[in-house]
Amino acid sequence: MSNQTDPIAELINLLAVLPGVGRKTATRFVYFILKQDAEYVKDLAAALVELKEQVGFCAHCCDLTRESPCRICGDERRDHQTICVVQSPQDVLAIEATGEFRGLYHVLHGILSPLEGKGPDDIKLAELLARLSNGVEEVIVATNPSVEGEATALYIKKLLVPLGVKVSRIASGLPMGSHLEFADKVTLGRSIADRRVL
Amino acid sequence: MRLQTLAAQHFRNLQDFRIVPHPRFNILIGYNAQGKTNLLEAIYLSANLKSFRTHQNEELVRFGLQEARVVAEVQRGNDTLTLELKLQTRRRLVWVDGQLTRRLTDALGLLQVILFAPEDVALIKGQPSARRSFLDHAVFVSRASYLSILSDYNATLKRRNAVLKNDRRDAKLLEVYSEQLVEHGAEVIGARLELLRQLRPLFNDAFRNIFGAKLEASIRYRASWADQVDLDAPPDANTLRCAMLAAIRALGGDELRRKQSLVGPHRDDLEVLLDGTPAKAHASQGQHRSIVLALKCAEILLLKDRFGLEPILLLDDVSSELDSTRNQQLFSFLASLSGQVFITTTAREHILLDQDQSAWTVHQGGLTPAD
Repeated sequence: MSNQTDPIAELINLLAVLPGVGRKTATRFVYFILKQDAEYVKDLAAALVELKEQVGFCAHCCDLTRESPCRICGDERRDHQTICVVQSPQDVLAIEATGEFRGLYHVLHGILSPLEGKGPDDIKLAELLARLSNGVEEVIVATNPSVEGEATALYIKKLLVPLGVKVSRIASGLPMGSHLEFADKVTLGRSIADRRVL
Repeated sequence: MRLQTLAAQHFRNLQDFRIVPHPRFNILIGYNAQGKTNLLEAIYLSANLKSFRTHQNEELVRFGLQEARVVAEVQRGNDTLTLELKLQTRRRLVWVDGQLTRRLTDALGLLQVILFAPEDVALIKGQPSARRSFLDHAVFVSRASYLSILSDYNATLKRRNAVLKNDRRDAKLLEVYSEQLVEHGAEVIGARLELLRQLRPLFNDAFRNIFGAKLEASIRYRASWADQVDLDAPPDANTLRCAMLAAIRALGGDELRRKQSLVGPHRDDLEVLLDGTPAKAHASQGQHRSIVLALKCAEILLLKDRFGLEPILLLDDVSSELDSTRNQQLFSFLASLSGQVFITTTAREHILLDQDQSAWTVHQGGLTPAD
């Protein structure tokens, strides 16, 4: 028995490491899976294996993709002179969903975080620099508007401006359709500081 | 501004209570460790959403229970509002007029209180950090957005120190954090200097008129990086940024060797001068007390001036720290104001008031009306 582990406990342990999932939820998942027919379970297992085998970094933008270059980098109709830099693949989905941006992306897979010991070599910055030779004119930095997000944006600016690339930062301010009186003070204060001329 | 009612449940050692305070003076009489300061703490919490004594919610909740509740009905000018604060082991929740606030900071500044505790007497002689806290709190009370300015600065400072401690340090990243530190630092300093500019005349008046001092008192903002900048005529943000950045550069490798940020508002100080001589080293015991009282009085007058509302004043057993002359001067100043005051004392005879007051005896956590 010693070299055999209980499959239920084993899967609970594996699922409990997922973000937002604790042991309780993991246990619910395991018993749910146990109740499904064999077909579903095989498909699920195969999908997991396939995910890892087939999905990798796009050689250009470092987004996660099945094919490299990814769908976006391979699209000739998009503006290849503008790159929007984001922290995570989810941010690409969020910006794509707006339909406002027709350029390319670059996914850093993290942010400069001195407290977590994450430096420039730990995120995909070298890969960003390598892309600039292909006629890139503007880089839009869309990291989160936090202390570390701002620092990462400034760091990128310091890297790119000497290379003759225009670096811009996404605006921050009030959400559309909201009411001023309900806005939090920081956002409201910042939207006044960063106001634009009409 | 005043409390119309104050109620609390399961708060520290206090038996559940609901009181209707007097619009002017409220006296809490009792021996030590009976719960007098806990009542001031409940009021302070309603205003600042944190305690002046602890960061741990557990300490605020009666032993063995899960949650404490403080409810204050506040009159602000012609408005009234209800602030309800729930303290649980891991979180604090605030309802304003029955509406749960999404962020605690949304409820900050609705109630303004100024606390005067016995420890404050050591303000001028004590550590610089206590004087920075005094200053930061004074700025915050008159301008709630200062809290986010200060927390951005502290977050930046923490990260810059982490960069300095890292042995495989990236020079560009340090440069970025230096610029960010200077950016947020200039905002912090700008806010502090602006407050001092407004506080200064009120402080001078209070020191001379209320406490009958013959000397000229002045407050100065002290910063190691500012030897080329006149801080008394508040410089603009750009001047501040340039001066700080120049000071960081002038330090050369010092910060790298000591692995911490040596320039910025986290190292600045406040200095009080009497006839041009630093009070910290030269003033008498009595002068120290007058200075601190005058600073607190100036803070009250400033808020009154700024918002047209007097803040609520909490005096925690202050009279026992004062000689009888200064105690008299304090009470005649209090009588000249019109705001609400809560005073704790161990001895009723310290309280030099003969009208406009309600009194309670605090004994083993229980409140009973006195008189």
